[in-house]
Amino acid sequence: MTVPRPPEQAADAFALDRRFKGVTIGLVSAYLLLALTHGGEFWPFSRFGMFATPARPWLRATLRELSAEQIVQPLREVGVKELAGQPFALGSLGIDQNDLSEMLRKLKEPLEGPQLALIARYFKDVRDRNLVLYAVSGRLRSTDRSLRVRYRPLALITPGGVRAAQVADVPAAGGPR
Amino acid sequence: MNLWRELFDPDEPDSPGRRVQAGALELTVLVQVHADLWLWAQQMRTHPGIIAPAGLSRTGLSWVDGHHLWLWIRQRAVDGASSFGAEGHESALQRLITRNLRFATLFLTLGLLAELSSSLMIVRRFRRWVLLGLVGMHVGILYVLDIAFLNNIYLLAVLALPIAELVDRYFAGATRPSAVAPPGAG
Repeated sequence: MTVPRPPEQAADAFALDRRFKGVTIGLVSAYLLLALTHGGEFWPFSRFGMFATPARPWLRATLRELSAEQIVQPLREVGVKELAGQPFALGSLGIDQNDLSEMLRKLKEPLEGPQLALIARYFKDVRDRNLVLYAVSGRLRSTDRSLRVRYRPLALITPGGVRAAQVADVPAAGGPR
Repeated sequence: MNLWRELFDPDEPDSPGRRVQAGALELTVLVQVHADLWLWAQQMRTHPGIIAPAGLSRTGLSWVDGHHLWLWIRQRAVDGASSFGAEGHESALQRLITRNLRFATLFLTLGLLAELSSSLMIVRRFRRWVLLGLVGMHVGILYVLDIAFLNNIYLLAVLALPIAELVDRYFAGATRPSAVAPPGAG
């Protein structure tokens, strides 16, 4: 049900919409200018490649809390079903999952002094916990495109400090990596 | 066809509901323009000169392969457990998708169709259906990948559902005695 307008109001009834045309053109120009001068990246339109790059392998960080008896070196790279302990919330430490995962992508194994110090900085507020930092990798196998997700221990975060995880080299079950 | 006239017809009678709808439409068009520009920028970055949605240019139509959805679902599950310290429970829709590859492929196909048809929202005749398709896509993303584009869902729903008519009915009811005088009366 619409309310008819007197004819004298008709002229400027959609002045707002005409103004919107100007606003749109202005915003699009601003976007192009900023995107061009910032290599295509600026908030909030930063690159979110998840949907643009299907089948791209990912690497994410995750933290598990284990009992002191469970933390025995060397640890093993496992699948999700053999994973020990409980997940530990990065959010409770004020750590952003994307930040930590992005950092892990840049680490080179074996972890040594400066890299361990970097990890220790992230977890400097952790006391009296036995945590293992895992790098979780997910990809599709090239043979049958089935999903493969592996948890690789990177570092131990214990009351005694941050140490590099020693990983037992067990031949991976279920095809080539 | 005058695209601008398709969006905002100046001859259409003014009303509160019409204004609500015009506002929502303006925001939606802005979001859409940004999304299109973003896709185009992605495209230029990877395959300059080819105009196609960013995902499609790399993988072609195999983008809809259900395995891709499985990979994304697991990534979101790892991220959820990592951020919140608890394994999220699998929704019914997720269970259906992770058990059945064809269903996963169908899900991505519908999503791609919704996305590719989104620019058709400019044309009045298709608008409601395109918008409902996009609402469905966003709800699917919410329940399958746990990514909440809530404001997009509200915006699209305001346009797709007869909200404008409801608003008009409300205002007509509130002001009936004096406001609506028949043309030529008195």
